Amino acid sequence: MPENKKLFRILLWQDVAWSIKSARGSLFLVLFGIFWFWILWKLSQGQLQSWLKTGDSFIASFIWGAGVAKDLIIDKPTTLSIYLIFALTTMPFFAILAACDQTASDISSKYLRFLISRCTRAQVFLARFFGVVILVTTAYIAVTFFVILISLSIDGFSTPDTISYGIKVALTVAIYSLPFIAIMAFLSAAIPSAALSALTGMGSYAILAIVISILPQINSNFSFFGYILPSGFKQGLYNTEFSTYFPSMLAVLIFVPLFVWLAWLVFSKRDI
Amino acid sequence: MSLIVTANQLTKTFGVKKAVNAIDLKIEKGPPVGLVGPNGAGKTTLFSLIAGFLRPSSGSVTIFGHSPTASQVKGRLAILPQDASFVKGISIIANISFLCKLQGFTGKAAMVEAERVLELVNMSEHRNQHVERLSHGMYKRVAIAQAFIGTPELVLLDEPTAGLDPPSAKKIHNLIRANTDRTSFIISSHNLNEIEDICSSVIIIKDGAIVSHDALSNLVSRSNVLRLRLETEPSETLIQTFKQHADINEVKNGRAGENVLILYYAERENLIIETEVLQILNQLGLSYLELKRGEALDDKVSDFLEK
Repeated sequence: MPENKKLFRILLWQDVAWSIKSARGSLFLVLFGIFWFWILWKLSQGQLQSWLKTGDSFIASFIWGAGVAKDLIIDKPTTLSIYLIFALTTMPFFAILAACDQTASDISSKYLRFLISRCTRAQVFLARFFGVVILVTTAYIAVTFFVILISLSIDGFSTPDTISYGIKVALTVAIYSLPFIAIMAFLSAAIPSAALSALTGMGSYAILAIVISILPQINSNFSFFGYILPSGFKQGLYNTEFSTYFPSMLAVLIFVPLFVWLAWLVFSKRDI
Repeated sequence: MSLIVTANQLTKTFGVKKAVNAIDLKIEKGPPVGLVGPNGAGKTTLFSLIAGFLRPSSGSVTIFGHSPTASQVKGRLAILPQDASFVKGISIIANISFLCKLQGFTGKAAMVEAERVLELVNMSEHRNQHVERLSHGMYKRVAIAQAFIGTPELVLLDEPTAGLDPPSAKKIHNLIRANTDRTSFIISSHNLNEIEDICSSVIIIKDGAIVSHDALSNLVSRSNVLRLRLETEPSETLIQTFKQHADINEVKNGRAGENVLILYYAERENLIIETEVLQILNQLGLSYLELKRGEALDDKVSDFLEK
């Protein structure tokens, strides 16, 4: 038998290769491709940049605070800032879509029964999780690459400044995707249907987001509820100050082991 | 002999139903073992517990002395699950060669091994077909093929020939026989002729509990027994005639509707019991369909299940 690490690698790369051909992988890539093609087109025309720089910069200041708005709009390449805003805002949808079927379909079809006599549950579970991480991260890195090219051509910043900010944006987007993939690892282990786990993920996230936005208006003491979701730390991820950005990044990462652990508890004990 | 499967008070409940109920079981390395019982008896659940698909509600099960989930077991155990699906949208050969890679075959060797096991079940010419386009029988053969990847020490086959045409079923029987020297098989089947033909011991399971686990030779007597199948239901006259025969000790009826009599006789020199039986039938003007030496597993299993 191959050693454990080798088995994990075989499972991981096979999952990445087959996920592109699978229904959930195809659906994710098609919707992701259409959405980002449209956004990239708008960015290349400068239409979205002008929206943030001109008429609605007051709104940007209101949402992110004057300092952050100035950083995003003026001090940093605006195209990349716009991309960062859109990427983080739409992340729950795309990450949930990509990650909804880590184990769900294979539990219902009992395909895992062909694997479990040859490798451990932990290897299957981790390979599926990291397979989705690779798929999502690669997709966003590809989009970030094109955004950097657009930014270099229209934002007027130096190449090193644009590329270094682009790398930071890519890193932020990749890390922000992790808690959503972890949440879906839990849901897809608990619900043996990819569609149902996606609906549960999106539905419960939307309901929680609405409740969290309403609660502080009822009582300001409830504002801490915002931090029960990764999106509670999104503001900090826009911030260019390291002292704000880094703790927010760490806070987002805390969700990952928590939900991976919960997912493993379910997957390791469930009948397959 | 070394133990390959051990179960202690193994129990699995689904809601209030005990699918497997406090089973104690020891299976040694060796010739094929049959697992028989009616639908819902717990055969597939027992297989799933042994393979680690299901977690016991209580009790324990070990394979080769390890938990079914332990990495030490992986690759040594192969299983034909009853209703598992391969990855759709992928060819048969891609599905099987991936499983070969998990079993330690690298690169080209994985493809060669996949071709080998598909050839074993006459499926190599369909290697590039997608699994969703296969008929039930072809799908079953591919599922059997994956159980023969590498050299597993224990193979669990759940209904291996259900849904297969007779030539394919025969091929699978031969495949099992050809591998019994290096692999232990546990075969669950409703086809008791198949079990009788291949296995040397039989586990009979009913309502989640083992009602018998014995060597086939202890379970069904091969000597001093004749199994007579008639065209019509055996008459009382015929039964009494056999009972009055000096060499026949006992006469038992087979299952209702089978028109079978089981005749137990005492061995003695120069006795050809078949001739005696045929003469009685001739005298009574009766014809028969089958006259076989030895008991049938089918009758014995029925006895256990009707108790």
